[in-house]
Amino acid sequence: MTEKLDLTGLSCPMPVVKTQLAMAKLEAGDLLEVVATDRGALSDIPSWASATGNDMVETDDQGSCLRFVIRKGRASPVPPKNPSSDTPEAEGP
Amino acid sequence: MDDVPQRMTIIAWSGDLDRVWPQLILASTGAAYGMTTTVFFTFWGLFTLKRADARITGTNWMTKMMSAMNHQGLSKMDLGGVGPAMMRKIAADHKIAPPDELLATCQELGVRLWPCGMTMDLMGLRQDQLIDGLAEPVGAGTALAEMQRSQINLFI
Repeated sequence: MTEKLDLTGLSCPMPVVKTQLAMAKLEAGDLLEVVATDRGALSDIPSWASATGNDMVETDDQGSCLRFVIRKGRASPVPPKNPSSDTPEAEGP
Repeated sequence: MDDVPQRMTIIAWSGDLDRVWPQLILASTGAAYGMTTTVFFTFWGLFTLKRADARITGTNWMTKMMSAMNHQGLSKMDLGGVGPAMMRKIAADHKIAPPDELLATCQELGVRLWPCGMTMDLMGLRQDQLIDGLAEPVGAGTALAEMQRSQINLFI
């Protein structure tokens, strides 16, 4: 399946952050199509994909509008459910 | 890509907007990158986590001083002078997310928000006067131990 995400008008760090939040809801192999206007996303989205084990399928720079297609990888980390309330002592080294 | 998540720890010691912004922008970005991200809110940085209606009590000279600096018990996230107001306008003009939205995003991404227990004592703040979804208060030792195993440590 392909999920679409419109991040038009949002600035750093929201393109990367919102992309991660959307990706966390998808299954491995699913596609996410992201539209953004923040020029920083041109380097940030591929950098984020590489760091999180997702694959860039397409990067389309139309000047005022950027379009990305990302395939969710198997190793893509999902943020833990509620680690904010974890006690620090509960964690291993 | 490493199997073990990378770690980032941010020591947030200031509640000024020009520091709160980078604290929360970098924390949310780190979490989006899959890093185990922790922010230790200490001294004036703790104001970011305080409920708007919570008043700083405390009786000694230092808590009174901090209370005076923190006008009417409102943090700079809510009030602020000309500088923060100007930054808010700049942020709105450029569609940069305001700090309260960034803080909520950090929580959604699982950033661990650690209030400094010593600062809470210093200001006479109880946990119920802080926002929901925080970890239990910790001390400098816990924060330093987390920094010791983090690849990225920032003091903002």
